[in-house]
Amino acid sequence: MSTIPLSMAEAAELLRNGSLTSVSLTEAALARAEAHDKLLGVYLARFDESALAAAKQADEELASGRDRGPLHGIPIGVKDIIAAADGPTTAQSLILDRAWGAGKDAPVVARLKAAGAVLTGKLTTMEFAIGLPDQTKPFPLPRNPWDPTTWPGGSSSGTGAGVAAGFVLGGLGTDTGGSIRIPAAFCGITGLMPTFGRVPKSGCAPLGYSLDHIGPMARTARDCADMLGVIAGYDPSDPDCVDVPVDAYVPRPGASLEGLRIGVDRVHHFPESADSAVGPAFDAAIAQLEGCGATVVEIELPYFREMVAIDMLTMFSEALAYHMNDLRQRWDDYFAATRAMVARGAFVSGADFVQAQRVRRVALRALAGLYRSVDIVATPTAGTGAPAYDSPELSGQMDPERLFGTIFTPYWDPTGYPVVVAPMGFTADGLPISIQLAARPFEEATALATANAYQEVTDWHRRVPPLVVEVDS
Amino acid sequence: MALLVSESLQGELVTDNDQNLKVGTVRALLDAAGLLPSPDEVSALGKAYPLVRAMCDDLYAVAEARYEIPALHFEPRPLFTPWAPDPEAMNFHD
Repeated sequence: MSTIPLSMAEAAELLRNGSLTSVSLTEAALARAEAHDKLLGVYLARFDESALAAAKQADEELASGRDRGPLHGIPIGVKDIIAAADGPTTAQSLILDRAWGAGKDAPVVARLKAAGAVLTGKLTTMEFAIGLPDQTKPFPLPRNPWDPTTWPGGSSSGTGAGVAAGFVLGGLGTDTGGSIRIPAAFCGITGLMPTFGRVPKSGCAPLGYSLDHIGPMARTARDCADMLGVIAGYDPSDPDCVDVPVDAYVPRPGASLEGLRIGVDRVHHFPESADSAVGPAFDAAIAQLEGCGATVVEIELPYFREMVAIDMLTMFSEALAYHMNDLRQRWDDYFAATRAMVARGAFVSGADFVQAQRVRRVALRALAGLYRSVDIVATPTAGTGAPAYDSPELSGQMDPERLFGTIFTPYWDPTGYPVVVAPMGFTADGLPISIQLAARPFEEATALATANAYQEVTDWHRRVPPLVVEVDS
Repeated sequence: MALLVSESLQGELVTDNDQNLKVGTVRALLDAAGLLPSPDEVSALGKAYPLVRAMCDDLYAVAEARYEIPALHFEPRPLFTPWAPDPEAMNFHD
């Protein structure tokens, strides 16, 4: 049997009943990474020494009766656009000044450490969380554990692949157009984009100031709930952070979804180019949720096309403001896809940006109206499994219009609504596919409870890539 | 993600003259911003330009936004603090 349990909750139980130590768990996770990370490209930096020291401390504290909660002694990783005192933050870029954030923990990292989590290292991303991997630059190429010829999704690529491969039991990602939800979907794990302002994003290199969210990625909704309970809450260092009480996010086991109203949008989420497995898997997932007690109604998300455009235009503009000076002086040092994306900001005028924020408010009003009749909106996360690196979507010039034609995440970022994604099956090629569940602002608990109920009656989230099965046998 | 937009624009991207005009516009905008992509990159951005402009222009067609205020927030009081402040700089709390 592997010394690496599938979920954080299972590991937490074993750590407390004495059948597992944090040191042995951390050693096993690091050994697995040592064996397979050359192939998968999960880590940008590993902190073996400090991780094992933190694990030893966790063991000593748990043995002495000091229990810091569900993350105590659990190996985790952090996307390398979020600062941690253990090593420099690179944003997987030659551009970011290594002095930025040096020796400091972002508030979310400080909270995870205070909760006893064991930080094993910094995980791969796309450069500054945008664009695509670039094999001409001196950084690892992240690969999907389900099929290493495919992309794990991005931009929180290392966190998605690392959790799926069991290098870590959970980690942090960030989401501006789908960067938590896309890799979670493509890697067959669970991810949560919290409400905008629920989790402080200071200490994180920005992509789109008004769109960026930091959130948990882990195998289960329960694990994401445990992580959110630690990282959520006001911090005065983030002007967007909202001072509202932190809920109890951990779902009640066996809870019924009786009374929950789920709206299903079939209008915008089933293009002809979708994989043939997605429709039936989504229908089956909705039937499972009905079986858990939920009521399902057909809806159409308002201003869908406009909100996708608003996400793009706002991101291009806000990113260009951040990168303008460096792009002028060091164009070639950026990844080709990064500069192709960020330069699009030059096509958006100041008036265009403000108009986007006006329509954003119109759409928010309409969405609030829709949520008077539903509690959750469910859609597929993407219309396909992970694309191959040699596919037209990922090779050649950056073409976001093509790449995102079957990815349904960007609508939600400008809304600020919390969204959970969870595995719901596989394509015929054995690649994970995923369902997306969006709740009202600050109702993460509802989204997590819905995903948890689904995971109590399915086992898609417990499937592991063949590579991991091979290692364990 | 802008596939819906791009589908509506397929007919526009057919003539060399149109493409040359778009590349010229793109080069001017990038020059004005002080950005210096390679000719290949300018050409690729020339193909993206109509899609980005269509996304912008579509937003002016939303009648409901006529009297809407933008979803921008400004707080005149400096209520936020630097993240992970230098402990030396925090002595004023003592």
